Amino acid sequence: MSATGIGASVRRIEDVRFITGRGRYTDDIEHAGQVYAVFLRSPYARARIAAVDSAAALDVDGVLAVLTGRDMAGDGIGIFISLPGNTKPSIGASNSPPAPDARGSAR
Amino acid sequence: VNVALTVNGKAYALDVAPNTLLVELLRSHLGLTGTHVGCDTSQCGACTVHLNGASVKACTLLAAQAEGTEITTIEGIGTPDALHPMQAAFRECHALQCGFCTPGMIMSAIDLVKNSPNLDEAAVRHGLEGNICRCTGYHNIVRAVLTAAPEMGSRVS
Repeated sequence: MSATGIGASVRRIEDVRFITGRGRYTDDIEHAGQVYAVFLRSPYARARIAAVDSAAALDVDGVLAVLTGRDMAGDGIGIFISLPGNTKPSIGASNSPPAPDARGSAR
Repeated sequence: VNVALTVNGKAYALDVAPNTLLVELLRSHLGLTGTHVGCDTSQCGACTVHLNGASVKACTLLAAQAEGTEITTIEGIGTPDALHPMQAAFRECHALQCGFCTPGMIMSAIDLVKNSPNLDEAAVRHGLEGNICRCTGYHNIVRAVLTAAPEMGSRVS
């Protein structure tokens, strides 16, 4: 392997922060008043969503909001595209968009 | 509960909830986010730190159990300007990609080398069994440990 140019061993500039514990991963970020989101996915591989009852979740202490596909539609938020070519709203599969996008069906 | 302990040479006295894990104390209370939580169930080793010099998984220890101990985290073994030989070897050998498992790997590897006067590839692979890496594969990690070992005073065969 030559010392320079094509085939040379190049050190990565990001490695120093990773090997010294100075990386900044999502879980490392902490701001005052920070809140957290949890995505709920369908327990069924394929199903029609007749209704979402979020009353019990909203009753839990500290829960600020439960957002569903209806809220997304109400705010004019479009479909999340997690995979190129996958433009259908869906939940359940590991490569599908997050649950709040589900409007009508899980697949 | 009150917990008094030394972390990276600095003394702390903290009042934490009884169910606080050592890793939570380090990350949330002391802001030492170099120690990672990968699985929360002792399997991945990303949270490995040294307790009185021996490697432990900080997600499996209550903060209260660390009362009176000396903890060393990835932040305490070297700096960008003065890397620990193991940190330097990980960099030199391209032993990381996303870097998430790296702090735990390095802390485990240091303990392994310190307690192994003789190391070979099989011993390193066995010794790092409790640390999981999901990107590089283990080849370069093993190479890094075997590169750092002689610099730390261990023989490599």
